[in-house]
Amino acid sequence: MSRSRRAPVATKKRRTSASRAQTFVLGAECTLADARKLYTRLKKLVTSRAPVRIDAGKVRRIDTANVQILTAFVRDRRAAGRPVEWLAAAAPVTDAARLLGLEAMLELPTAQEARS
Amino acid sequence: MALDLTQFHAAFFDESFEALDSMEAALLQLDIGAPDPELINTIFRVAHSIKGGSATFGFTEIASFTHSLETLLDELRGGRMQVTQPISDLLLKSVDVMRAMLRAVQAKQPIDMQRVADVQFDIELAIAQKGAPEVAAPAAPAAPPQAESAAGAAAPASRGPRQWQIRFRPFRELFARGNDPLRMLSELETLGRMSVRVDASALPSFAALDPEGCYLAWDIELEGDIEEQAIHDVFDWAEGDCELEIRCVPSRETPAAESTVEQPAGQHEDGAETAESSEVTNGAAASEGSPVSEHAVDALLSASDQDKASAAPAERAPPAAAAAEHAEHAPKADTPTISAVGDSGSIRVAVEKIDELMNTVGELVITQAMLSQLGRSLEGPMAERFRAGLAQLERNMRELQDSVMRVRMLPISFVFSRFPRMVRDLAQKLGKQVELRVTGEHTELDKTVLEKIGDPLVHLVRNSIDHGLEKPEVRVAAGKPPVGTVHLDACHRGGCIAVEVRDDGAGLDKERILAKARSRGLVGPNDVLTDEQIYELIFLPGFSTAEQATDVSGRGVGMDVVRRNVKELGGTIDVRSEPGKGACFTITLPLTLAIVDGQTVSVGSETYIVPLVSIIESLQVKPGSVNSVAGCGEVFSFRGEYVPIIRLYELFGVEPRARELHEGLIVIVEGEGRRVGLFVDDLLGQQQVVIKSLDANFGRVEGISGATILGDGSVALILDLPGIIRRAATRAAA
Amino acid sequence: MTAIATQTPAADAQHDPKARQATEQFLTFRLAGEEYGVTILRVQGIQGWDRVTPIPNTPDYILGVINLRGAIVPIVDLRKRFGLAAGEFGPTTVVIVVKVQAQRHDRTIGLVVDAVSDVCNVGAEDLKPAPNFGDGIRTDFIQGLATVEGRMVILLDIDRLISEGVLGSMPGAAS
Repeated sequence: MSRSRRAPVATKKRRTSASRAQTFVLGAECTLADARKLYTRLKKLVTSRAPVRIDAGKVRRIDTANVQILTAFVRDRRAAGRPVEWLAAAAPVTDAARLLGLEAMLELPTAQEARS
Repeated sequence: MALDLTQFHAAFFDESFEALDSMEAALLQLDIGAPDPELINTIFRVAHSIKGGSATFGFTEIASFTHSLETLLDELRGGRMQVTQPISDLLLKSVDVMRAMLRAVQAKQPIDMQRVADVQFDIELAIAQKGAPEVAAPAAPAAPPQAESAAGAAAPASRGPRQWQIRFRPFRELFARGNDPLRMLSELETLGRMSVRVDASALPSFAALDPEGCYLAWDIELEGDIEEQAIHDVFDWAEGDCELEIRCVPSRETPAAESTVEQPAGQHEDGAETAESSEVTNGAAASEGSPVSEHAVDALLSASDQDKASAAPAERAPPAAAAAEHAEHAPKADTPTISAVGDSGSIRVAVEKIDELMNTVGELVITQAMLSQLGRSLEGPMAERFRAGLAQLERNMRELQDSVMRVRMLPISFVFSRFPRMVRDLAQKLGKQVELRVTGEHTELDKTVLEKIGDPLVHLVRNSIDHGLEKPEVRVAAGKPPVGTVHLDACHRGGCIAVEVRDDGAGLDKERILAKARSRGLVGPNDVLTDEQIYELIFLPGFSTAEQATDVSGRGVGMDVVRRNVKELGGTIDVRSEPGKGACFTITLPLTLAIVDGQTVSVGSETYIVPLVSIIESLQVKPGSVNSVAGCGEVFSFRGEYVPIIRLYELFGVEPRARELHEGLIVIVEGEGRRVGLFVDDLLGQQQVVIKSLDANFGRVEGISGATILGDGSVALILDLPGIIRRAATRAAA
Repeated sequence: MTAIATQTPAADAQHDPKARQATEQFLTFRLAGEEYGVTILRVQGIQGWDRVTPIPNTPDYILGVINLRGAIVPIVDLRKRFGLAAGEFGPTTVVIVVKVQAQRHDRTIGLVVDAVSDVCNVGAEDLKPAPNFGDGIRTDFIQGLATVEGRMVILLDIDRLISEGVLGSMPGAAS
């Protein structure tokens, strides 16, 4: 009995498969458990010729691991002459970048611009 | 009946068992001869509170016993008696007796009074004799440990704004140990004015990045009226997993007061006599800050690859390794500190309540999914606003579900904390010298997983000590230190939790394993096996390496049971071994049993969930690229290997939409090291699903690991790929 | 999702101790022209027939599983279980959700029947043992036969009917 009660019924997080437009939307939760997922998703884009836009407007929580992945992504793309454009960056993202001293490397828009 | 006390019994038992655990942990840290007064205080308080509780509830036997114990502890606390080995053993025995009494009372069973009386007699005898005579007490009773740390604690005593420079160099596995620099930095920011400079020079190219490794390092300047301790507190949990330098630069004349990771023990002990300490165990951990151990330095040197070794101050001793030093003095086993969770801001909640909450949340999620589906088909002026509201609802639901899920997560220290005692007893029994090292004990696991991982771990640790580690004389002869090490480690790895039991013993005995397997007919006489294949043999049912079942690892339980238990949790277990150097068992477990990331696929009118972790690729095959192998079905070439195709509709007896391979899709999946292509009609989407057991009302079905409920309320089955691969193999063979 | 009745009248039976001793209440239902009954104490609800999710490699009388308020509940087709002629599922077809006591723990399962008829009281004296139908016909899951208002009702022992062998590890999967 306890086994059946343990697991609630539910479907969670519906993600639509990656759209053809190179807009990358970050999920609300960017914690360590999500880091590998983020990495795998971004890996497909890192060498893409099309411009990449990142929408970080929905992020509720982000940790250093995820910021670090984004940093490496932005840096590598810039090095290849293909900068990344930020469509939006929620407060947790800009705060994290500031605290970690990564604002410049991430080329984040200032807080005002980000609030869409 | 004025007041029914029985309603409080459960809480009393829970708290008492927990208190006994912390008492045991404190006892195991107690230095013979020079005990830490705060530890004795902790032990005393436990006995005192159990005495009080049991008297209140009328458990007179327990009250009487703890009274004697309390008297003894009071003598120790007052320095009128010395902590000797016999006394320490007696105290540990008392813990066992109290536990047994509490269990008996809880289960409404009679107490084994003979055993109680024996130990109580010993206690009273010891008090009467003022300590056992056999060991002469060292001169300085309970010397406060300040003396030795005097050099380290050089923070200026003066108050006022100070400028701190903090050099924070995390080790690669910092994240995996549950530490987030972001959290520390935001905490630091609350202390004063902060400026941060990041060092990203070690950050590799994106392609070479380990998404869970930490490559960044920081130099932080912090200004304000800040005590050094406050800064240390911020880094408290990360101290074993980073290099940390905290430097005060108030003015030129003070020679830069440098402090190290390890707090001077004195700071924690200040005012300990009166403090009703909730950080007993944490404080105790820090108080081990004695001179450095070789282990500690080794660990630091090897872990900080990009840093100059010389930069590591020699006084540094991470808490987990600090006990290593201790082991060199103590002849028996030693015990690192495992901080039990002692947060004061917590409440005790019955698991059923959480499960109920989880179920209700699950229902809500389904309702929400239903509404979302409805919302999509709506039209009219209100539709957009309605959908926006739904999107908000969905976000909130997700958060709610995550929060509830997190309530079930507990640090693995709950399991690890039983090992110091076990290792100590076992080492004593077997005449071996064992040092137990524990790292990553803050790693969190789902409660259900946690409850079930204890037994397999106990078995592995037992095994390591019994079979892995050699006797001291054998070790010395082999040029190893006499004290063997068993290392328990837990960390995040690729979205899973890896728990390792490592020892530096003799390693697995290949020849003997092979011989045994041959004699049991598990391996043919002429089969040639690789080392890995030989090691795998120990997990076969009916295999036991012990020549005869010993008291320690006998019990008719073999590695096959360990593997089965781990498998039941959705995990895997592997072993690596190097002759003469030791063995390492790695258990990989899912973060939680309740949720899986899945790819939904359709076959005919049915929907199935394929766990995302098993999927390598999905592709469409061209007509003609598939070969059939006589009698064994179809294969096609994928990345240079021939992968068998399993037509899911055939296996499951479903009427499909696509019968020709090029009309549907092939999902390449991996299970137990084998790859197959699942032929399905179509891919539907990816989603996280909450796993429901089929077992509860039905039973196990090979090839199906469970079920989940989709947004429309219907049920979808979750595929168990190893099971499917096995099934397909037996079908092909038949 | 058409719930017809979910409240068990078990409470009534317990109010009257005499009634509880002497008589037992059964929910009766029709199956291929015959009338069957299960003790009302085990009935958890009655549901309209809806789509099930089939489970591969299970006996044909296991139609599949449904989502019953968040639990995964298997559905047994009683006609097939009894080897009766297969019938079309119509508007009166319902699922009776019952609790089965199994060796390890209780299970909840759904029984598909043609239609629900009635709730009736059966006194101990009205209960006759099942006759022996000869070899090959299993009667061990029949608790007894009762006559209710002139009709014969076959009372089922659902614990026997849905024993571990029926659910649990399926023959196909076990080997």
